[in-house]
Amino acid sequence: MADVTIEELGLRFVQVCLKQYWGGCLFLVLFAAGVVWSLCCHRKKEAGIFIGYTIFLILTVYNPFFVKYIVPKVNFENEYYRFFWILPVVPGVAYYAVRLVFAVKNKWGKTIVALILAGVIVAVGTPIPGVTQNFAMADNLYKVPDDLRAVCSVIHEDSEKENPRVVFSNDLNTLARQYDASLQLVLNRNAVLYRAGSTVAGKINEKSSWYRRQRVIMDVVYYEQKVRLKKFRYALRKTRTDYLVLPVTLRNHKYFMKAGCEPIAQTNNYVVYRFDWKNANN
Amino acid sequence: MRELVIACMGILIQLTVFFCIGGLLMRVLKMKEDTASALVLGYLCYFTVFEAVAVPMTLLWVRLTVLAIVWAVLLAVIVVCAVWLLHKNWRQQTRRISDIRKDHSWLLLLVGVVLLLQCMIVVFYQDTTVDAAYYVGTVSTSVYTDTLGRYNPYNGLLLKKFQARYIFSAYPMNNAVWCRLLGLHPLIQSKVVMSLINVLMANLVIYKLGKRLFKGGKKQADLMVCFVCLMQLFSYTIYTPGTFFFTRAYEGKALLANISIPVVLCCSILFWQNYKDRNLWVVLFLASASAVAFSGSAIILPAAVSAGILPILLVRKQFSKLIPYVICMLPTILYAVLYFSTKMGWLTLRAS
Repeated sequence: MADVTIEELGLRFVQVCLKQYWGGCLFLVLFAAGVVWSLCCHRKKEAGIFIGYTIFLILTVYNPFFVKYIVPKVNFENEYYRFFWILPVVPGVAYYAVRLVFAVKNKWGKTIVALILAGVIVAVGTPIPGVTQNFAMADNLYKVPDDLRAVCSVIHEDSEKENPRVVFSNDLNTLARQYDASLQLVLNRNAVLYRAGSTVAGKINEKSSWYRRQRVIMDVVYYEQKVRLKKFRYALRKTRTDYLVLPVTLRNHKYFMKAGCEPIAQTNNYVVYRFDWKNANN
Repeated sequence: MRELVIACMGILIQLTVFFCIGGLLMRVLKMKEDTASALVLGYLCYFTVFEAVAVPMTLLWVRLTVLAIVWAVLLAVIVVCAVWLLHKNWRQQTRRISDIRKDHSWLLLLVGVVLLLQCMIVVFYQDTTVDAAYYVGTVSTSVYTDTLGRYNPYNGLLLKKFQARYIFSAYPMNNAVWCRLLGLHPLIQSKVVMSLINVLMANLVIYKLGKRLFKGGKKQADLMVCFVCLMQLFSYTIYTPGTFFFTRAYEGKALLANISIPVVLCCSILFWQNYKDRNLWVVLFLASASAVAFSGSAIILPAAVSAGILPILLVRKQFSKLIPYVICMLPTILYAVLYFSTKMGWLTLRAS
């Protein structure tokens, strides 16, 4: 979990993580209600298992004292939220819902109760964006934008190298090598995430030339910041960049041409530039 | 179109393999035959064995093609054995198909719709998470370089050392093997074929869980599958199993959350109902070992196993069961030892 540290929160870490984990979703409350009901009325039923799980986890991995002293030692802070997967909230609530439905004897009554419970789940839950709301439809079976497929073809047709080095637009950078592993990325995934402010993307030495060169390229390509042409060209040369794939919507296309990048193709959303780093001078 | 046909074939072949492995295992364990259990057990056993074969080969720099050939021969032998030994049972099972409608009523139709909906979401969803750069990138890179995880998927350069965080989980290499065997594109194998299989398995696990909780009640189990699906769809934060299930079903972490941990819960209920059943320990061991194949986060599984088993063990005073309980956690403990040894610098895993 980003931005949540034991050092900062101490004993409140588990509570804050739990809040972030469930967000506005109230399934945990429903599960707690079910566990209390089991505890009071049906301790010997199968649902007794949920009581055992809850008590054990509260005493161990959800115990703030345990977490405060053990989790940092094993460097598991960022991944701590995965312990919340163990608490069977979703199967538990589903179990209690089914029991409620089957407590009604009448067939139509069962249907009505099931629909009401489904309504409750929808009301207290949070829909998954891109799935339950505004479905994010894939362009093709490869699940990458059609533009990326076109761009990869253009680069291979144009390049004499088997493994050309490419600066990809931010939205294509992590997808490119999944689709075409023969391409080499100039901008490293972790360096991109670090530049974007991520605290969980691994250790990056800001002073290393490896990062500084990539940062110059990112400043120009991703953040449209003003960088001296000479500095940008130097970064492209040192990173042995062969191609740049940049969004059409970028405002500084003239800047890239001045830097020695030559546009060779354009798709609906991207322009492909060739950069001859061997012959580029300062 | 060609890719689509191969993808469909890939799904059928891989499901057949899981079914055959599960069938053989159930025969060895003398378990009551049923298709759902055979598929789930076969799936867990498959990844346990794959982990045992693929990780040493990875560390020994064996080529992907060699692993693919070894694996294909092994699977072929298993399928032939299963057909030889189990064909009579399968014939009997097919005769019982008419009973299915009786046992499940119209709820079976609802489950079918729910399953179809989940499959469509997983197939058509456009994923943009950055983590795929590793989980799918390493498959593409391994297929392209004909190696087992020796190249950095982020940039395509040869690694000096294997990354301890990832290298002990062989799940991505399984995708690479199938890409090599079927000629499928890594993105299609990972994000379509395997994702669909994972969705099916996760639902079967929930169905089995429902059956356990309701003492064999199939209608209740069906309805539970539907409720779980609805809750997964409405349990959004980037951390929940539901989000992983629908948006990142190709990742090992999603399998840990939606298959391994529910299987552990299922075993716990079985232990609650019948602590004398020895087979549950086999299933628990397979869940634990296959979890290591799925994701390094399997390091949390001992907590899940303990949460399920220890309270019952204490209440029922079945202290003799402490031994199988510890054995079930051995794969994850072994993984933890290897991982921390590498982290501390006591163990170096050279990749070149």
